Amino acid sequence: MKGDLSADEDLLIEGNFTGAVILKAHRLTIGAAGHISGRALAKTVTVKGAVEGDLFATELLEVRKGAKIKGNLFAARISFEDGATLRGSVEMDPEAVQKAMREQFGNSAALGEDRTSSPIKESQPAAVSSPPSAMNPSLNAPKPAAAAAVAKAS
Amino acid sequence: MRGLAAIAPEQACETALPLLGELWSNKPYKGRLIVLDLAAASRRRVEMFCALRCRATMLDFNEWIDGPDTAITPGNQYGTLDISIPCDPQHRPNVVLCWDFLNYIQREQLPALAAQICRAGGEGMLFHAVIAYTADTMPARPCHFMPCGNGLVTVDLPTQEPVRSPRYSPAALMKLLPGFEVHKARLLKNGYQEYLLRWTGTTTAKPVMVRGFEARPQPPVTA
Repeated sequence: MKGDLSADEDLLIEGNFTGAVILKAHRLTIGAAGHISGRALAKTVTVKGAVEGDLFATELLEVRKGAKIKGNLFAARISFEDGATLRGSVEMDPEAVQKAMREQFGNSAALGEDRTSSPIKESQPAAVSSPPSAMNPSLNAPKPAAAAAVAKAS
Repeated sequence: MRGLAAIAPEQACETALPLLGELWSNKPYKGRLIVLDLAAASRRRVEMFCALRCRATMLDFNEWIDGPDTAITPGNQYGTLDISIPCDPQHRPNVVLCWDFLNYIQREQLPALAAQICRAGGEGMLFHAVIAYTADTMPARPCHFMPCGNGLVTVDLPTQEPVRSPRYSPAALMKLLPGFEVHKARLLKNGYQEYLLRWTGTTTAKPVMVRGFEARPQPPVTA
């Protein structure tokens, strides 16, 4: 899936995603099978899979064992498990984190405000699912992300 | 056998690094803390940086020494290095954490490493390192240092047989690291010397060719 994606609920990504993910007031989880290329902003970001790009969290950024990140992490609180790999920098100065978020996502980003944008336009079958479907095997088939998110194609 | 190498393989030990503790408590660096850490990211390191509310770039130097061409020479030091330290003019580090890495680089390559660090660093940059001094042996591979607060670190020792250490004197070290001067030094109980070096802002090293890049002396960087 390619495009810019913003959502007003928690989101789990299992699969490939290229573009920006913005969940200002919610949790973003990049699952063990997830791979995103691009920047992401959420209230809480949990990484179990692979990321190529910068990650921003207004509250907490968790990097779990097995995660592979090539990019910079911006959050006042970062939890990093041994067994994860990081090629990049971590920014944990709250003022610098806020400044970086404003530069990347605008003034509302640092406040954790949620916004949605234009309807989704998918270029590939989505491999993005919301947490409830991930927990229910019967609902695990990839589905359009429109129900969970509103995205703007890049 | 003395020093860290004297400890049984697969044993972790807690070591005090008083200059590291002073560095965090006295804040002798200029401006907000920006760290260049020459070691892989780990839980303990990120916790330390989180407590310091800083920006930290972690580079796993093991990636430089684990390449196929980095055979260990009879001197027990690594043959060649692909040293590439990113230079971000917006975030020049004012503290570099080197741990015991310098013990494992060929003497001839230390000026090139110093030049790379100077190129990336900011005015008055401080450089923390632990060098085997009275300890005549050292672990065969760089140790895994896990900070646990107040200048204490847990050192996870490699399991290989110990090797001969280079035992640089302060004077020799200064010649090999052009542009740096000893700010503080302290001999540790394990036979290692803990150094806090300060970059004077001038680099006089001649160009040194290291595989993959050419390190040239850089002009002083002002804030």
